[in-house]
Amino acid sequence: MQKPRFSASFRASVLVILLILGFIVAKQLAKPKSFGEFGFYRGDNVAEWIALDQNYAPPGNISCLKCHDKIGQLTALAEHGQLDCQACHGPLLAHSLKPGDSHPKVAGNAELCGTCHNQILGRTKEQITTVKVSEHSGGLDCVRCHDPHQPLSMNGGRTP
Amino acid sequence: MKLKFTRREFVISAAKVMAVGLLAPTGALAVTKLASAADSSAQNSILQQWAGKEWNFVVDTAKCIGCASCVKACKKENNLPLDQEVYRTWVERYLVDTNEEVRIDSPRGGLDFQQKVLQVNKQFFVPKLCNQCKHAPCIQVCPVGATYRTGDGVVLVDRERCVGCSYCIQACPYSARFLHPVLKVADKCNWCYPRISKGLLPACVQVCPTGARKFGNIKDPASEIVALKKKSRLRVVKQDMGTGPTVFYIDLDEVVK
Amino acid sequence: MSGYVFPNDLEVHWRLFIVLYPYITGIVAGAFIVSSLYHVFGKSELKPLARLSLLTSLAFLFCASFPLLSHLGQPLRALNIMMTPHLTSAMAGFGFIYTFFLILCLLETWFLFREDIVKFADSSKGSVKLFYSILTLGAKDVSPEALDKDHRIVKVLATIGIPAAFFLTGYVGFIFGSIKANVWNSTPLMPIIFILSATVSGVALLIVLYRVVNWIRRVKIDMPCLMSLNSYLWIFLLTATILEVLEVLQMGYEGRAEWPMIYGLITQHISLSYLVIQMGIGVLVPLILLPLGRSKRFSMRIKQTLTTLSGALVLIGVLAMRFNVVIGGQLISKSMAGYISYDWTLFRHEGIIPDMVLLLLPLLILAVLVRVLPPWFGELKGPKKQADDVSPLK
Repeated sequence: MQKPRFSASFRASVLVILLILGFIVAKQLAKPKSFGEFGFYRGDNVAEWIALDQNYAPPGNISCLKCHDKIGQLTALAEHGQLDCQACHGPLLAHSLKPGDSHPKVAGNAELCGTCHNQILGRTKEQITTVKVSEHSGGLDCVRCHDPHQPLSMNGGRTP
Repeated sequence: MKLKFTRREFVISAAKVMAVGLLAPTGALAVTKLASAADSSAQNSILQQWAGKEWNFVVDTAKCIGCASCVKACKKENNLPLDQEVYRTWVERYLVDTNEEVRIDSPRGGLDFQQKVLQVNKQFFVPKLCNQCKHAPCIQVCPVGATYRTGDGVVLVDRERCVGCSYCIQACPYSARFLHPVLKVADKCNWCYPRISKGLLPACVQVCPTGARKFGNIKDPASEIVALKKKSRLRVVKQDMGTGPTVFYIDLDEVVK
Repeated sequence: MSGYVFPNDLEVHWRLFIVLYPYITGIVAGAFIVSSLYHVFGKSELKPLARLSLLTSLAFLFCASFPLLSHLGQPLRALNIMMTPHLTSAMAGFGFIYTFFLILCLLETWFLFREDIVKFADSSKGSVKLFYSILTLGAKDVSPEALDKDHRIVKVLATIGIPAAFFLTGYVGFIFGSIKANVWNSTPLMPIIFILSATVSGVALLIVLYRVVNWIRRVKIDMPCLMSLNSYLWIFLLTATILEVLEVLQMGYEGRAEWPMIYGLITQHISLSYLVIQMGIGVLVPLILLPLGRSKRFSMRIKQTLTTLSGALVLIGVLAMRFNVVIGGQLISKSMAGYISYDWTLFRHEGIIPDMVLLLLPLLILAVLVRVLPPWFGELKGPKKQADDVSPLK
């Protein structure tokens, strides 16, 4: 039988070398351009995160008082003064940028007010005034008696 | 054993192989380097963004009333579904009863604390979030370089690179990480990086009604964080893990997990 | 769920597929080492299995990446692991260690069977001839010098393959053992335990395969070969178990803060899979049956049965061990104050049925491989009675 030019080991080696070379080329092509800029990660990702949109606007005294200055000032002087508007009113960036497009309403019920003022185990009276809703109001909406912006004005509530 | 080819043939073959072996990757490298003339202006703006900044977080557990406004605000700000059991931040309740036994709970991350009637010795709430560790084990174990610590001290996840292997989730001693239920990549608290990079506060800090959460730049001498850290007795969670957390707790009881 | 579990700890992330991966790669490494025991260390009593064990290793190797790919949240990005491997992560080693071992195994198989491939190429017709001709890569020299060179290359590859096999299972052990947040798994011994139990699972599978295959082909069992496997299985099983038990005993003795959680895990939450299946059925029983399976007091048939039964029990035990390592550690919440339980599923979320398919797949591939590259020698067939210590090989 004719002896072939290239031995078995040579053929196998060539195959393996080609595979390794192919991989090196593929690796260089597949690596993202910004990878390694700042560390072992894709440098572009930092800017991608910074560019993301928010849902919550900046604090109320910047975002809300421009239009809602009267109620903002009243609230600031009363018991809820240190709270951000969005703590109760939810995310308001969309509304603050385009006020006409949305009119977020918040329900003044025991569920909302109870998140802070419910008498749950763990919460002490030194930290915050708490009530047991069933005993205090029988489940009625808190805003029936309390103005959320001036919660203790007029001896605890608006006249109904 | 007879040689399969003459010495001359061997040298020529070897030279051919070496030529291919050296030229191919060199050529490829040159092409890719030319194509990726680094966008240095974008790089510089990020470096400027980071200059002079090192973010820290301080939690005053005595002030936390367990209202979980932070949990709700975090979910809304970061578009995480309220009904899924994944949390970038959560609040734990510790009830140390008269037998020095500790009852801990965090129903739905603190959104569901029920009223209870129990006689307890000590009771308090502890908010938890990602500690943005200086020696983060999650960064160490990520196989693809999808998570990293920025120059201003926040650990981020590259959502385009993450393969969802969950190794980082296994490695975090604080269970701060989870698999995003929709995107199927790793996710976690990032101190609202888009907000803080624009001079805003993280959503949880902004809505906290009692000021239990504080955030700031420790390289800025005027920051309230600097004063707070100077005057308070501070602890971190699971210090013995050696992760170097940058969330500091005031009044952290030793029973806190 | 019991006690306090961190809100993000409610789910087990690494599930049955991740249990299968170390099981499959363990068999790959174990079967390869048996093959190398013959090719490198010249253990001639293992010759009947030398080729079959290499093919077994290859068959399981082909399947090793399926459970990982299926588990990923973003499987289409899987190649990121090879394009930007983060060298501080043990998992980043997967691409290179697996590819290296795959190439090595393929090469060794090719050089080992090359003579047969050339013979098949020459003696067959049509598409079969084409298939084998391509497989020869054009290297059709089967002169004694060429074959001798083949054997030397096989020996070199089989030698390199031993540390490569250790790496293949060792790095998986390191992945689990280096997670300081996981108190059940974190130990420097994990890579060693994985290597030893890998060898155990490989030998055990080969014992069972040998019995099954010879029963199908109606060929006599080579008793010196089987008894040799019996001894190897016993000693590796004993060593692996000593290390595992030592680890737990030490944890109990030192009594660090996490010990009560570990004690609770072993005695309550994984008591069935750990104490009963892994240690009882998978270790204690085989440790007793295997030496009995070598005893001169019993007949050949009983010795074969005891050894094969032990092999099967060990296979179950090692699977339980992988389960206990992968899933056991995740059942303890990082709060160190509570446990969750594994939610068994049938189909979805890496359920039992897909797992059984994944376990059968390598056996199917092996069945194809032994048709393409028959690993048999000219053995004696038929029910002729013979002495225990005589090899039926011609």
